[in-house]
Amino acid sequence: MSEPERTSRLRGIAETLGSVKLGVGLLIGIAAASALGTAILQTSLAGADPSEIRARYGACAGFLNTVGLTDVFHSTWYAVLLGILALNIVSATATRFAFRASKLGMLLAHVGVLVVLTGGLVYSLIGDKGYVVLGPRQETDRYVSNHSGQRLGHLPFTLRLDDFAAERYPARLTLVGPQGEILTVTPKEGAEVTPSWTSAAVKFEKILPHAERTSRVIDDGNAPIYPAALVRLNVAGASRDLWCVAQRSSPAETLVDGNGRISVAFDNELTARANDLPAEPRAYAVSLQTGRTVEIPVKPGAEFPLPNAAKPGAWGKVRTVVDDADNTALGPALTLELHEDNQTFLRSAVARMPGLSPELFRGEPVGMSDLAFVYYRPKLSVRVTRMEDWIDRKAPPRYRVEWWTFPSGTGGKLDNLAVGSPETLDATGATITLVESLLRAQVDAAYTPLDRGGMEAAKVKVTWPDGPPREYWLATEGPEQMLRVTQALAFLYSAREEVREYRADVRLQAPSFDLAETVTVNHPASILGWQIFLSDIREAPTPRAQLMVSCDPGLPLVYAGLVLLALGAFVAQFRGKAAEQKGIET
Amino acid sequence: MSFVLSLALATYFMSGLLSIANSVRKTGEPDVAIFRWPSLAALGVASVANAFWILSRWHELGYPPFADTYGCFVLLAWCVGLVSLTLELGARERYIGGASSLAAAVLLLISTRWLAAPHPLPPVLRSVFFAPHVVAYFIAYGALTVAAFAGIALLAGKKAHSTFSSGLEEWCGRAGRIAFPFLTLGLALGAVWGQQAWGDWFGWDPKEVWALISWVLVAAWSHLWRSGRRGALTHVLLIVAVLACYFTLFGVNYLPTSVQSQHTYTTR
Repeated sequence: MSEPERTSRLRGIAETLGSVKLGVGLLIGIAAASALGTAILQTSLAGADPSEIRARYGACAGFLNTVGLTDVFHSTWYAVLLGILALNIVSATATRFAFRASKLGMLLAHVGVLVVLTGGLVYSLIGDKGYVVLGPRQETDRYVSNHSGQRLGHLPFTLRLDDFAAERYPARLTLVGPQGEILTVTPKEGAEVTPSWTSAAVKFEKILPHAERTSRVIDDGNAPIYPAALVRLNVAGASRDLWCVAQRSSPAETLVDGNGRISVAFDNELTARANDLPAEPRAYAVSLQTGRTVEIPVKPGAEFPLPNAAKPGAWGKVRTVVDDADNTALGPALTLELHEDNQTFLRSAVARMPGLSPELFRGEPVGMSDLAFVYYRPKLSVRVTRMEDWIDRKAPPRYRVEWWTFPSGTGGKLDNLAVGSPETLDATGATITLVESLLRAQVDAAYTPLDRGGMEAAKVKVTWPDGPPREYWLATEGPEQMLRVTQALAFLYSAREEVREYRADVRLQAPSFDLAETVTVNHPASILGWQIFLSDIREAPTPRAQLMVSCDPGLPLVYAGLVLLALGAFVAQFRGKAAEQKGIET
Repeated sequence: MSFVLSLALATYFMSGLLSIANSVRKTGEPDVAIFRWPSLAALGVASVANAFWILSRWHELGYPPFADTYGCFVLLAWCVGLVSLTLELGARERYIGGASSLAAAVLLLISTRWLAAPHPLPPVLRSVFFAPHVVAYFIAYGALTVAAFAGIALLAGKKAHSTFSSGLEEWCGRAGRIAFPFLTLGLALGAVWGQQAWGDWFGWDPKEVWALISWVLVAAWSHLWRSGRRGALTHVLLIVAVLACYFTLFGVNYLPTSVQSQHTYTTR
């Protein structure tokens, strides 16, 4: 073969490989594959639970796993698709855009895509990401890596967490007009606001940061629960006083029935879950990595295997069982001895009776890195929420019932449930009936209706095929509870205290430096090619902050590629008119 | 609905009807002046009123009003109207402008379905990237909505007069040329933001994957269009790409994998 022949042959191959047809086909293929990766539960995403995947897909689960459909974005065939796309772009760039000023935009955009892909490749070859969980004044130089089965990685410095906090918004009062106009203010004593849509003036006469939310709004100093504001409304010369009481987020009220087996508690949305607890206490150890669960026998001296795939042979032993941890919010407690890699760790697991947060312990980055202990996990959890924003006293309220079961992990949602009609909870065989609903109930040993104040509550009856029906009172609230004052004005006083910012003071230490940094959600700290992000803060029951650590040497390439890509797309747009008329491929 | 938004709704609607009335004439004939200029004026008024509402709500809240579905719909209506107004000025064909104005009116109308008292911004949205990322994306979505109308018309009227078809193609191509760079910018800003907030410029989260799918499909369509392949399959691809965009915006929360997503702040 002569030199020109070879050149033209090579050029022919490059042109085929870089054809628009192949490129478009690849793009559509990648789009379709990616769509599959979001339609099927993925093992690689946060909160993934292989047991749930098995429960959902049954016999197909094995097949899906084998062909890589339960982890599409880390499968070989997806990487191959991206690789061929890269080749396609290289060929197209070489044969069509290079050295042609009129194609500058397209050149930049295509090179940009290649540079971004290279950045991703660099990360997957030499970068790493992971997390650490630290309490106040704890430090570590190790982290749980996201790569290869949550192994431990080493940081080139010591990461110390000095302090952390969740900064919250103050309680806000929102004035709502008939057409949805809104005016949100933080009430201050003596301040006056005038909404633009009404002639009424609203003055804050008195603010009680902690008032009891009952039929009387009082500040007796004994039960500081809800912020409240005394509002004076002036309309056309006449004035009217009314109390606005904020809704509160903390799980302040708990109801436990006589034999301690049924609990009701109020979570952040002021809704409640009733937990149908098994008669005997039960505890489980769950692998966060594989979702495998083993039951822990609740008796001293009992031994059990740990479901830790990364550390086969790990086992645990129950040291002591405490029947009652002597606190209304705490149930029985276990102390556990955990054996892993010839090391012994001691952990305790306390059952919280309200059952809101059955996950009692999440492992620290050193040692038992991927285990959670679940104690007293309910067989069935039910949550009831009123569906309408506004209470219309003429029409009966409709509720949404959400439910989850354990251990199968199935659950569902029933909408528009009214009092009286039984509904079946799919696949469990149980039926649920709303027996009664109260718009104003008082939280007490039993729920009683009140004229004003109090909670909205519903009584729910659950019937299992193999047992007597059980009834629970649940507190419910609508999505927002508004107080309608006049035709033109309603109040919404929210004391949910949404988080404004998470903040962590960290100290980064090595022989050559000692740096104090503050990390907030959109502002990571950087040192030695590592970045430290704040991803979560848990204030109760044990204060802990989760910090992500990332070492991504491909990042400058990714940023440069993104700039080239976006710039190229804009340049191609302004220069595109001529190209469009001629067509790229002639 | 506030007076300003009601005004925008009414004028979008009026502009749409006038544009369509103007279109009912023989292809190639000049515009009907009593339809043409009032239609443009109404669209202009609607865009200004819509923008005024967004800015005043921004001022009122103290942060970009795009954190809830309500604000997103109003922004989307504005983007659809604005792209339509921009393209209308140099275009030869009037049906698509009319359909776009009507779409903006419908978007405003259904926005009220999500009307609710606003929540303050969660930590992750308190970022300089929030407004640019959302606005870039919505300009792209607005332009793609307009392009999709032209694509549907091209599919439906395959045997139409060639002047009519070339008028539609003009809409499709010009709207697509606005959409792609802004879609790319939105994606890039989102990547940089994700890196700042979570340490991941792309974390294979369902919302992120659907943003990628949308971009990839629009890119595929753009390649076909620019290389002169403008048959029925190309128009179908465009429509699928635009549906993917809308799915990214509103549908991802209904996927089974959405429980694994970090991007749940637009729903309540």
